[in-house]
Amino acid sequence: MILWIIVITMILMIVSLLLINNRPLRYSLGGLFMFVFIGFVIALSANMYNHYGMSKETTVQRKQIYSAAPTNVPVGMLITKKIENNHYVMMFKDSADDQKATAHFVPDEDNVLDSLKKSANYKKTHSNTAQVVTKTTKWQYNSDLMSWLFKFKDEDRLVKVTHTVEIPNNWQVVNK
Amino acid sequence: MPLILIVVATVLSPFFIKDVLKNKPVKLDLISIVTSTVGFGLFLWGFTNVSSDGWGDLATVVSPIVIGVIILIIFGWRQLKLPVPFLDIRVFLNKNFTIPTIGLLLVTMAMYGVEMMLPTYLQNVRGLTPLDSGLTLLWGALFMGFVSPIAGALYNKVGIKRLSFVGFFILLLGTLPFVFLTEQTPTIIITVLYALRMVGIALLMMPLTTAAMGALPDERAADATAANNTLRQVSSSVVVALMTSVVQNVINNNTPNDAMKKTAPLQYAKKALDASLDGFQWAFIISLAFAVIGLLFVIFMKNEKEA
Repeated sequence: MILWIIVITMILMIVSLLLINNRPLRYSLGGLFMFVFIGFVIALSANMYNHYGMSKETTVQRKQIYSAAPTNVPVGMLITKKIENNHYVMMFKDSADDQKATAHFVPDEDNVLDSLKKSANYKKTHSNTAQVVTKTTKWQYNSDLMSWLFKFKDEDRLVKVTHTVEIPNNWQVVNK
Repeated sequence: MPLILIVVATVLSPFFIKDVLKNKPVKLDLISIVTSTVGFGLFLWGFTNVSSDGWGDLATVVSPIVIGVIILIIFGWRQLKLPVPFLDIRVFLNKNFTIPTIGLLLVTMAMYGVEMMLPTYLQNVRGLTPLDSGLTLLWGALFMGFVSPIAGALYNKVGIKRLSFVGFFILLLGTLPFVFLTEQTPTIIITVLYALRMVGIALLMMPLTTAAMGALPDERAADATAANNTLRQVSSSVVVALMTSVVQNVINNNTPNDAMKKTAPLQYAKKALDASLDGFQWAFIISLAFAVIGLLFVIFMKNEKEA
């Protein structure tokens, strides 16, 4: 919406400065629209640079996961492959009835930015069950006004997603 | 290749295009042709080599530019001596010609920074197809065509000074957000702001050209056009050289070590992307700087309307 405000302000400024014959009116209206124009362009730049009008918000989700081992082997197992620090591809079962473990957290090679925002790690805990804790941080608009001004159709508000796979102490970790 | 075309066109065009005004018998002065071709050729060739060889390269950058300038000085000196000059550089003595011409150069240079880098940014950083990147810029081109005739009418009404002020003001504000472009900026922002810039440029280009040409009597139109075109081509080549050398330098300085490709491939890709963006950012900053200079330059303009 801010884009259209900027366009309208610009047109009003052009009309004031170039079409009004009455000098005091020309410069006062023109000056006013110039300032408004500057103000909105700076606001847009601030939003582009610093996410002006927005703040970060984090949500946490927990989901139980199951061993990657085949159903007839009652061993807790997690298969991992390290891509780089903080980016592991991990294989486990999403539900107890799954036949095979599936790979999770595989980075999308075509979308580097997206992949870098999502990190995946694992750690051992004292719990008896395994779970994946997903912390998602997104930008949210500070108010309805900010949302109306700065919300664009194809914007990406994701800051980062942190997956932490927490497995019991007695699980085996297989590093590939 | 374009360089050769530029030089040939600059040198020959005043003589090959149909004259609107009465023709004068003109002798082709051989020395003038040679010195202008060689002088401009060397000068521009030196600048073209900056992006591949760097500013300090003596053989391909510094010497051609310096020798080119010396030859051009000889060319200029000869023009002042000739009874019928090949290119009458005395037109520049007329302030009403020179000042709009300088304004025109600043617009050209401010335009090029974004113009050059934006398609590359859209295709390499954002992954747009050439068609999509062209469509993004299409609106700007349409607006330029739409606003130019309006600019002509406005020039008659308000004069060059006020019009240039508004033009440069819009160009400046339209360019500012480009400095903050990221890999994720919604493309609609780019489309609209690019169109805004074009409105500013349209308000500037035609009126400034008209103001410059109008400052000289009709018989000098050939000289005025030749001088104007020459300066425009030279300045656009210089700014393109400046832009590519700065962008290349920044990208090279910020590109991560190749070793990172194995140890941290995702980080490497991101850092390489950031390096590209840093390069583009500098091109946009240079564009912005020219727009600022242009706006300040309006102070020197006289408030003339078309007679």
